[in-house]
Amino acid sequence: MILVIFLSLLPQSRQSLLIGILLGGLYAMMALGLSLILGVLKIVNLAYGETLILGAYVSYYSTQLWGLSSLVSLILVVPILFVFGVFIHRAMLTKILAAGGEPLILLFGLALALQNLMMFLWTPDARSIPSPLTTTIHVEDAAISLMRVVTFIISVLTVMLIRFVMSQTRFGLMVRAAAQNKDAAELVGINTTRVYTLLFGIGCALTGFSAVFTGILFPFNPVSGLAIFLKSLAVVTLAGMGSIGGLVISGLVIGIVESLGGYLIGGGFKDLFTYGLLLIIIIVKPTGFFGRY
Amino acid sequence: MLEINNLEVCYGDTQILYNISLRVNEGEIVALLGSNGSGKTTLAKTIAGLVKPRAGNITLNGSRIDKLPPHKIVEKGLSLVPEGRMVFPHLSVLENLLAGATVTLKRKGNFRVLLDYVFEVFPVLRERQYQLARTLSGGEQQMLAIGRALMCNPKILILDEPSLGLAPIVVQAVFRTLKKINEDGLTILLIEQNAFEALRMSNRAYVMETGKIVGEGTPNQLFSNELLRKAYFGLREGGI
Repeated sequence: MILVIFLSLLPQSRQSLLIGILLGGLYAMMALGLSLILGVLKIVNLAYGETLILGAYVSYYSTQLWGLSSLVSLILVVPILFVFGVFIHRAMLTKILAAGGEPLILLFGLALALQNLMMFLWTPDARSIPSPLTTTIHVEDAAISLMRVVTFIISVLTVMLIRFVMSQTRFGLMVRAAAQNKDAAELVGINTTRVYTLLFGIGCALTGFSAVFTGILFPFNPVSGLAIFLKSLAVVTLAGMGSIGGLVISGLVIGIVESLGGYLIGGGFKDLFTYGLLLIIIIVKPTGFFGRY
Repeated sequence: MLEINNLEVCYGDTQILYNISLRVNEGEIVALLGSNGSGKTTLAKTIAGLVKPRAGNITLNGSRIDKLPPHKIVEKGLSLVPEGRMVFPHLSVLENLLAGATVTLKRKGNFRVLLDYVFEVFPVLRERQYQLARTLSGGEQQMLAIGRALMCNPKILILDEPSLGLAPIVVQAVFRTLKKINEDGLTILLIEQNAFEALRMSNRAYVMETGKIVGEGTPNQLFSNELLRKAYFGLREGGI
């Protein structure tokens, strides 16, 4: 904490701090899909990172092949991933769960399958989705790309929107009820299977949404999924299961820690700080800081 | 209204219910008594659709419900207040009732009327409507569970051990309320270990032991049956 404050006073590190904050917003949105699926279906979606990368590729190729602007590609990516999610749940997960099998193995296999499929289709070369905004704004002596700022704003708005849907709509109520007690939800007339399927689809759709922004800001290749998954997992763990608002704070913390850590020791070791923090959290408060269950 | 014929239910290879047949007629309060392990909760879950029978059938007003998923059975007018209450702990009282009204809202039914009725029957729920369900006392949670089950405007209400864990004075209050709800027109199947209180308010009763029905009749008939007196009512020869 003291370190953060100290560093934020140094002009040289201010750029890192700012970037950390802006990225933190993206991390929060990135972790949304994982958090929803984990909190409601109580399943860790091991194929989460690959799903996101898949969305990034869809966006990338829609810009290359059809000349779409990357923001327009959202209109394509989000529904495609929604359908993808519904399909995975309906056609595969429900069958495994009904047979008493282990969904994690299915998802792990799916992750590998997707990775290899993407490598086969699109080669392991790194790609980057073209950014629709190229201006850089200057805050004192820090230079920040406008895209990062826009991404941050959109991310926070998205998380707030999902939070609103979960707490204020009838669908959100059904989801929360089904998450807290599946049998009781069935007993009041909630079709829990359909709720779960829709939620899985929505989780994947949100992933697709974040994928476009992630793909704009970071170059990616078929195996980038793991890093994405681990980072999202860190955000979700710090926030705690069941907390959506907490994701923003958690994302910011991780973003700042990572960025400042990278500033202190060198960019290549950024992940050390992120995963070090994750480790500490698991040891000290495994249920996260804002979690409810 | 509710008819169960020759029901056989198993959990995996273990058979729990053997040839269960019973009926509940419209307007009645029927009690189902039995000690721990007699299979009462399994029967409740099977009727509500959470467990599927190996053989036999269950019909509600003539149509079969034993093959339907639980949420469809609720739509047909059968509502279960499960053992242990199972309120949604992190939802408020009002949200619990809203959730209970899922079927009502889907059908554009009269949510407001049902809510007012529940608050009239259980005034404490109106007082605590914004509180989280897990902060309520046992008795209040039981009332919430019953209120929630009423929100789908059922034709028949099944309660699995509503007196479990409640102080006797609370049990009496809950049972009094159930009697009133029945007088207002709701058919009730009351599954209980607490034989006295349950029999006091029912028209008829069945007795279960290790998965089978071993007795049936009116409360008076059951009270005068020697075997049952000793086994379930803990009474010695002679007086009540």
